[in-house]
Amino acid sequence: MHAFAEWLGSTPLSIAIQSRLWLTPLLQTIHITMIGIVFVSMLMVALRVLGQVRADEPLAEVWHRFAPWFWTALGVMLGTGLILTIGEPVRQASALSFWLKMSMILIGVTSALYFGRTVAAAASPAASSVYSSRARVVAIATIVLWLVIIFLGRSIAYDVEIWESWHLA
Amino acid sequence: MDLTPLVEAAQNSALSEWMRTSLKAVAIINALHIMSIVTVFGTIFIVDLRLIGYPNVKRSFLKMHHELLRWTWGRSASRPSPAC
Repeated sequence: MHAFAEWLGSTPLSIAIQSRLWLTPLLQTIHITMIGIVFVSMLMVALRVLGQVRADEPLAEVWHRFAPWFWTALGVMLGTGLILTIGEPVRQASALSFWLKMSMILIGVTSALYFGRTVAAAASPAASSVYSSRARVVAIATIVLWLVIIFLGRSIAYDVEIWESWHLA
Repeated sequence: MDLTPLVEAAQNSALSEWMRTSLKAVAIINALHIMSIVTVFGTIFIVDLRLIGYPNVKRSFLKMHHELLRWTWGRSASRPSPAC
């Protein structure tokens, strides 16, 4: 993987990204803005399951309100993340935080896909429906998962300090 | 108003010293800072979208304001500023 990252870092595309000094801060700003939209979209759905927001609306309606924002922002986030990774492949590949973040994004996206299909397939529940303890635990786990993703995203820059000997370089 | 004494006092405080000498402090507080600002931005974004009527005005603004801004303020309060 390290050899691949070094090769990627020497490609014309990577050099073009590295040589435009304004590009990385711009992409990082867009990336963080998008993670804000992704996180808060999931937060609203999870808080609905917990009965903390929009308790008078059916869960399906809340999901359909926020799902387009979630998927669109996720797409932009993945796009900007991919360009940022091409621009600094060795740093990313050497960071344990990066690989943990990617694994957790995979879990988050898979669970969102599953959740979306479940909500779409279910008959519309009563607006005031109260969810089971299991559903509430899953909602809390979803909030924690996306918070950890944000934490790990920022930790990439401090991978050595945070993980010490676990850093992959 | 000269802020130099205030800045110097902050610079010489035990907290500031700890931030400068701890390897993990800046990294962890910086990450927590981003987590908090992301929540602050997102919750304000939803309320502001409602204010401009997007996607609709079916939901009462006051209700949204009441539900969401406690998260905004909770996060703002837990948003420490990194020393560096």
